[in-house]
Amino acid sequence: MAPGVLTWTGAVLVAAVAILALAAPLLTSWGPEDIDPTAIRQGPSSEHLLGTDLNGMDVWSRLLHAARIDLGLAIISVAVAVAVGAAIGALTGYVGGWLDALVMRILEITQSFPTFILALAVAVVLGPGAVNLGIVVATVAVPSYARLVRTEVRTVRELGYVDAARTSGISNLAVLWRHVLPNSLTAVRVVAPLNVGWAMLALAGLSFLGFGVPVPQPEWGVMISEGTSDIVAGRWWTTVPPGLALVICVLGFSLLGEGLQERETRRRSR
Amino acid sequence: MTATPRPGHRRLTTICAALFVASLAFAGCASGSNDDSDGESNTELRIAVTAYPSSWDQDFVAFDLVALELYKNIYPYLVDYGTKSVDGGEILDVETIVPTYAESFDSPDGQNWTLKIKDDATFPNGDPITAEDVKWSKDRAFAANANVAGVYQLIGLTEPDQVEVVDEKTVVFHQSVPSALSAQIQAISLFVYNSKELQKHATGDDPWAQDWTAKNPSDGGYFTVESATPGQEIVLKKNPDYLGDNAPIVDEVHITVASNTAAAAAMLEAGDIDIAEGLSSSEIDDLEGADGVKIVSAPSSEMVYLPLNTASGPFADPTLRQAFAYALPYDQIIDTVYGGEGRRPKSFVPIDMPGYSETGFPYEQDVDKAKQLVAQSGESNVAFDLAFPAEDSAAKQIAVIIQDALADVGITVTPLPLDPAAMGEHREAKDLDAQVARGQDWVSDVEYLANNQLVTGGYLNNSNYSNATVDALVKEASTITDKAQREELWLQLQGELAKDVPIIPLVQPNYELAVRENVSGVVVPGDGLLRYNTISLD
Repeated sequence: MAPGVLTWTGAVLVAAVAILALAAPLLTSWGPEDIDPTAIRQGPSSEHLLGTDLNGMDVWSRLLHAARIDLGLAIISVAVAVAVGAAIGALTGYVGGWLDALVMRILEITQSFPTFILALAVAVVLGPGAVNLGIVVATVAVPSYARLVRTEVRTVRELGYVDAARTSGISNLAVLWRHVLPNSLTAVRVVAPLNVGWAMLALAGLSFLGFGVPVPQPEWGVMISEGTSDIVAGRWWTTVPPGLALVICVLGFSLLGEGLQERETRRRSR
Repeated sequence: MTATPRPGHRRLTTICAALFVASLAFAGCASGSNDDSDGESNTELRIAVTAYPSSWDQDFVAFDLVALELYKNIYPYLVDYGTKSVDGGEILDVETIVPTYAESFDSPDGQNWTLKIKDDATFPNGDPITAEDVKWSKDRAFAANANVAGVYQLIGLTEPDQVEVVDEKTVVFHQSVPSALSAQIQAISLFVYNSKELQKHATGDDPWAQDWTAKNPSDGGYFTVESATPGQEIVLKKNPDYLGDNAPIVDEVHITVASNTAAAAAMLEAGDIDIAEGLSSSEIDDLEGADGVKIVSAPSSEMVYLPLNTASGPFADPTLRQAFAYALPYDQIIDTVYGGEGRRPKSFVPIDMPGYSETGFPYEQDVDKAKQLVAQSGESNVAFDLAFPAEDSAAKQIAVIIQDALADVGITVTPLPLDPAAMGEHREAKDLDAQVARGQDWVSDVEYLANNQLVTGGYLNNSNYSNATVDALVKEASTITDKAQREELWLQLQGELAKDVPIIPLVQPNYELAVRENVSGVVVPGDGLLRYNTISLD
């Protein structure tokens, strides 16, 4: 499949979810936390497009508003992880020496834990809540970005134009910021979209386990968790829509990342 | 390990993502085998619970319902509750105490109680149950400050010397005062340890063998413990030496620890078990009408309520407590959370408890009145955390409904889920603004309830409530045994509660138990702890 098709398919899926999230208040007359006491656990109807949950809250409204939290939190978490990871990677890669060795050993120790277990451990320490959830996901993603950027920085810092910049009297910090870092982010640009999909899954997983947003804010992992007993009873509408929303988002970001990767590979091979 | 998917694994990642989501969505569907229920036996009762008991030592366990239920079925009690028929069903009769291993247990004056043990009463290992065992068990409770020592205080038993061994089979309890609670308190406290066996395991550091007793069952009640696999299964066998008239009907009880209530419900529906315990109200609703399953339902004395912190925070102001009481949608809570299967108490004294009066909580939902009281309090931007046990789905629903309702009167509520450890710490510190709580009194008497939850400094006084009149009324009642006189005092007490609103009673949900259709003989327990001895399989 042509990389353009992959990229565009991913972009369209992600854009569709983003548009639905932004337009949420216009697409439903129910607030995500509004309770309809006359409609507890009711199936889809004209009044409630995707039915209601155990509290009588509108599933369609919660699905749309949850996208704001899931998508927003995942993107912010990855952005923070990229920023922090890139800063660490750039500094250690450029300076080298004992600082590089020390930081790399710490990152290796961190990365020796299974990602989700590490995320769970951090979540237990920080406690539940949207901000903490974002910090957890960003924290566990930082090491991979740091290592990625460090590797590229160590290559770029040896290039001729960087040497030229150094000998022209520019400070090391300025060389790093203006000449090294911008040319060391190629891999990060490709990996970051892929990582947003992973971040969404991690967020949903942690929320499913009770480390998510405060009750009764809408979030896909929480919605799935609250609806588990509904599946046994055949009430699919409380869990399948948020599950599908997650699939669409993760698929979208994966395709987008893969398309960008293909494009980058072709560019480099030319 | 990496948080970054490797390029060669991207499609795999996508597939894994879909599978992960599917597994999330279907995580609650864990079910037992779909095998036919041919294995059902008239002599083997199969029960699913969702936790393994935290300890085998009844003296030191307070809030572990699975353990407490197990104790009721395996510990040798010398006296027991009777049963009575109400509306075609059988319930535990907490006002009728029957002897089991006791020949008799009575008092001429309500203050000195004589216990005579049957000559042929034995522990499962053949050791006779003697007066010394009773004495040693109660000495242990006093010395190690066990749960029994706490409740004995209510009937004026505070020192080991008050438990006197008269002869090998006779013990006298010398209370400092006569008490109307004596029989009920002894019905929950008169279990015995095999003192000879436990003393073998006592050490200098552990003179009452607490370590050993926590890890090894002290049985000899309706059932004995045949085997126990931590975290998985407990097998009980009918105790052939049990001497009460209420001996077990089934020969064996297999208690399986299910991973969660949804799994227990699925096991019941598949016929893999006979009784599923701990199911939520909505899970019970879902099982109603399922093939081969029936629901045993009866009014209960369990109370779901909201203790409000009267000592600090927004609810130190009684006007705001009254506003809260007027703002709540009581009927909506009963209908939404309990599917209508519950009664609304108009007092913190449960319906059916002697002394109950509807003057105890004369509040109905009235949003305008609530707004008016909020304005009258002079507080603007009233906000508080409403804590609830994170694992309690009904409490979570209640918190959400309350948040929604109080927004209408301008009060901001933040539902605060707390895990059991955190909830325990906060309850000990008594620092929560408000919380969703539930409980069931083992003694059906206002004095017992008030001592625990309303008297200044009471063990379960989560409201930090302190009212000199209430304290005086409870103290006065402690030496009165006349029923009419006591009920007069309880009327006054409920008048104080109506004015002060330290606690908002929400609902008394029905006792509901999901069982297979061939299960009969379930006696609705007033304390919520199922007795297996009356159950049979048709």
